[in-house]
Amino acid sequence: MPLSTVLLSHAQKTLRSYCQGPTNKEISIPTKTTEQEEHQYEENIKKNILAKALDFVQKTGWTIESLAQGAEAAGYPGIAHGLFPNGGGDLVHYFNITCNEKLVEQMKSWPKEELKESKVPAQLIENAIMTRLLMIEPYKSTWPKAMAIQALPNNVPNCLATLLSLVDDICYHTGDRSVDFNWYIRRVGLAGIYKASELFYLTDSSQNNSGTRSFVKSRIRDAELIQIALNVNPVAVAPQTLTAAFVTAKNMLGMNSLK
Amino acid sequence: MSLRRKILRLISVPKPYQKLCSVRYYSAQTAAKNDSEEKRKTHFGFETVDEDEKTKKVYEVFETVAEKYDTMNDMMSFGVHRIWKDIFMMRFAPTPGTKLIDMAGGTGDITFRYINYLRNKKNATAEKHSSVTVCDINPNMLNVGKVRAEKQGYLKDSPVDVDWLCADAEQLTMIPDESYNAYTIAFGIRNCTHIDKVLEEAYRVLQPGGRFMCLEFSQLPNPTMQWLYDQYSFQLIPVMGQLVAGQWKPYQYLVESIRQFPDQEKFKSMIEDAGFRQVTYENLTFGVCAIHSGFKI
Repeated sequence: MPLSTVLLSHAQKTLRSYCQGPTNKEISIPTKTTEQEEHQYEENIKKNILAKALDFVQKTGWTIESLAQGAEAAGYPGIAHGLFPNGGGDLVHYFNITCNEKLVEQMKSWPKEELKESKVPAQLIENAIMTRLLMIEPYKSTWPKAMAIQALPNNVPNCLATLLSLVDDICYHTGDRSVDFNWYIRRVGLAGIYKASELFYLTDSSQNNSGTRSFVKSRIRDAELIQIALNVNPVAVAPQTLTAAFVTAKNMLGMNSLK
Repeated sequence: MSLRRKILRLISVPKPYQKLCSVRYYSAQTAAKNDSEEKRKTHFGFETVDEDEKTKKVYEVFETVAEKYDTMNDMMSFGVHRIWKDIFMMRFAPTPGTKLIDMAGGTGDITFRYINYLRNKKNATAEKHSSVTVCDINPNMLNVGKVRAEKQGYLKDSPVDVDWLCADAEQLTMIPDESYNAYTIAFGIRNCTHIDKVLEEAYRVLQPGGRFMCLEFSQLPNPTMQWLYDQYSFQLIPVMGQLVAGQWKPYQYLVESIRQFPDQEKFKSMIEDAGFRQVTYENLTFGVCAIHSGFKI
């Protein structure tokens, strides 16, 4: 071990300049900025390959093959797919991130009239969910596989993170500024609606995806109802709840007198 | 460490282990000394030898073990080395069109897995052509590989072109720049005198986007496991070598050279210093082996 230290420190400078070429001369100054630049450089190459790989998804799916073809399209050998140790998982993750970014860009330009009213901006939320779902359209045939890939244990953290950022963006841009427990309820609720709609959308063959749209609409209405129910003061509705429970119990016991 | 010392005090310490301890504990001083005076010296196992001498000695080691190489690997690792190599190839995941140089791959273990991987890929033959250059410094090891390739039918109607090349990993002068897109070296880099030169050459012969992958023995992060592993290596492996292959010295060298090789993080930074990016490593079997991977991008 000691000798390799010698070799390393001895050879470091020459190696650097030899290997990096003239473009990366700043590299010898080990500051934080250059490290960031380095990182940025690597990230850019990866993004470039991923973006190119998306073109092949329709043919070869969310797989290493697509990544390899993407790498070739970006001017690297196919073997560079090893940059993405999660294979298809990384590709799906990239796709989700770019879609989320696109959605945020679009939502920023949407009219905000509905937000001025005090009720839930159901129409805006519905539009947001639909816009995001329709981004899957080009890859609809391969999307079930992508969903399966996302459910693999090593991809779950990434998948949840993108889902959270998606619902967070939607909540924020539809006017949610809550800082209480509602913050969680809205996000979890919306995530549920989105995932359910995604599943529905996969088997939806209606014209202009009207089936999905109405599905989303009714789920949002459900959520609104739940929200109303939750917001009601529990003491005020106690008699009603008790009566309901009593009636249910009577029905179950076959003592329903109304018959 | 303290546990280790106590046990050492209790049992009589065999000779090889004494050597291990002294190197371990005084490594800092040796480093300082080497810095100033002994630049042309290097290690051969735990011995310090001239640089030229190491190349010669390593050559001799592999000349003597070539024939029994596979049997001994199976014996010493209980067959696990096959799994390590399989995992290595799975991580590598070659695609059609890969131009691989399999350095120190004389007996063809990596090359045959590579060919199999590409064969099992559907419509691999229809697409771009793949190739592999098996490269080893030792013609004896290459001969073992050639015979095996012939016997196991890897050369007939294979989707991959196979070349055999006898060359030194530190000076691949006959290979032009950027002529391969993948470079693998499995259990070989440890035996090279100048690891940095090997990495430098690897970087040179790779195309932009090419991948460097190395499978090599490494250090176990867990001290207890390392102690167990040390016991096994120093007490049993040379004995096995003597019994099975009739050779003590090469296997003594083997276990010593493993201890001399830099640990995972150190080797990672060496790969980075050669210019590779996105360098990662993965431990196999608690860190007995590690797969290092880097890209020329």
